Amino acid sequence: MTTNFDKLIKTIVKPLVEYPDDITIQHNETDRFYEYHLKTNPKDVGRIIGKKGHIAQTIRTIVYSVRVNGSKRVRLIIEDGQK
Amino acid sequence: MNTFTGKNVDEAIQNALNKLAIEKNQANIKVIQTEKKGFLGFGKRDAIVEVTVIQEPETKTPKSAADDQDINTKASNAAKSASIEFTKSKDEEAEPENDAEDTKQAVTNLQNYLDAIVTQLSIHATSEVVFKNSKTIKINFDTKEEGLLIGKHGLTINALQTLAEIYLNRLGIYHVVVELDTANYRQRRLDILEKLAEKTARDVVAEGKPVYLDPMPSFERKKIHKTLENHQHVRTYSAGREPYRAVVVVPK
Repeated sequence: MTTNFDKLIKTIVKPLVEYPDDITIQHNETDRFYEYHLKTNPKDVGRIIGKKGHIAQTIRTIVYSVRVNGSKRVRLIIEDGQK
Repeated sequence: MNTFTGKNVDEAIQNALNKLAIEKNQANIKVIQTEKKGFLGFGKRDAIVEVTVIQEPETKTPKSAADDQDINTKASNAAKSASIEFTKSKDEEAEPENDAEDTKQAVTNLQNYLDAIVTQLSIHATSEVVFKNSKTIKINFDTKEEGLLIGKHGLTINALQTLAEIYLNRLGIYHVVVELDTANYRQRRLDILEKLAEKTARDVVAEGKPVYLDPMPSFERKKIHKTLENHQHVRTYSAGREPYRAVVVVPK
């Protein structure tokens, strides 16, 4: 069974936020990464990043632990409205 | 304005009541600042409450037992209406619920949450919850793919453990330690750490130079410190910032 990253990320993030319905995930494929852009309600950004990125790092560790076939790696990007 | 301080809110209120020589039901209590424990004395602050006496018009003077009764009921009514206003932020409002039922419910939710994630990681596992004591919950996963669940040096299982605590905090339960385990991994790890600590101590004594161990989570560092605490020739401390904090073993 191949892991559905959308579903995995949503399973992890949804219970941690105040507005679970506002979560969207966009895909982007570059030559090195499968990128997953996670977007939340602006009020929830802090909840999934945490102090000093503590929570974000934890979520990434779990998402990255999934084996992916091929040389490309998974990358989780949290959209915090800053560029 | 009468403000009083104390180590915690209760103590501050008690101080105030003693000073004003009144009962709690005669007081109008407003919490201005809740206490913070701080860390090693930093960031510690006292609780501050504002207490004003409620002026009750004396309509009756107690003469008989019946009147006393009346006063008593009046007092209890006053107690009910004694308004305690909490000027707290929203997150603090979710008081740590020590209610065993609530915690149990939350832990069941937590178990479902972790099961869902583990399934999504394409690991087939069954979990089992053990309440070790009131502050520690152990969740044991039974799986054939323990390597996947543990990750390199426990990377994945430690991340899940952190996430479990974050999840409980979200449900308003604080100061509960969650320990995830599979195939007795934690115990095996502790044995390895004990050997590592002893070996490192020997190396340090031989070399006479400090040795930095690999970064570890706090509960693993604790084991190293504990193993070497009574060692005659070395002492230990931790350096660096989480999550790269590491134990340093130095000769005495």
